[in-house]
Amino acid sequence: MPTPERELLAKELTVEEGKVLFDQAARRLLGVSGDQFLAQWEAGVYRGHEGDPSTMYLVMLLPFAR
Amino acid sequence: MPHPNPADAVDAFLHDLRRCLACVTRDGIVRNQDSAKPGQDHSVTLRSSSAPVKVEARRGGATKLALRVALLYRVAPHLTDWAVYIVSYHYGLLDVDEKEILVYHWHPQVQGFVTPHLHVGPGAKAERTELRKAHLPTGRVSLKDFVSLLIREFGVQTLREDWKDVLGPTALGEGP
Repeated sequence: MPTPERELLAKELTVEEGKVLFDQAARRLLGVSGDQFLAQWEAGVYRGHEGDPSTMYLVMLLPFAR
Repeated sequence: MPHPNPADAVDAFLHDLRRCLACVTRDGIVRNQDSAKPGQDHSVTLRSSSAPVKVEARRGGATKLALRVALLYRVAPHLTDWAVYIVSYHYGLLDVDEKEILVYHWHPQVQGFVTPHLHVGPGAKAERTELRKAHLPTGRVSLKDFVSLLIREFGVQTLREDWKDVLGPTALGEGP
């Protein structure tokens, strides 16, 4: 069984690639665009929903969006 | 582990993450731009992060599971060298319909739930509503602990011959 490690990359995304990744994740998880989520998060719209796993997953992807 | 510069510290950190995840998935990992810049949080996740990564479970026939993994880390001086510190994590196990079964969380930068905890999601089919909303306290959970759990308890197929060496004692259910 070959070790698949060689196939794996820790690719550093460009800003644009990162925004695409974040946008796709936001649409899939919460049905909003990446820009919408970012604006809403910074405006405190999700205050009180910090326990929601989908929300927190997106929060952990925020460096891709900024 | 300290390294002479931020880039080396991040490379070593990501190398360990890749090896660990490669025990159960062929998906690679991606990081944000300038991911070795000190003084700010950086994100690393599976390449297919907009959709959960499918993994095969060998137990229970054709059962399929999915993973959603992301970490925030920071690179900072350590004495005269540099080291990477994990500052948040999300280790999610989902069913094939993308319903969360388990999610291990630690996100101390967000008010409300600053200590490590576990979510039991709808994919677990737990009937008590308290469980579905609960933040069940845990200690800090490493990615190795999580991947070991997938293999040991959920029968996820291993993709590396040396997975026990990569995951260490937790792979066999032994304490550190």
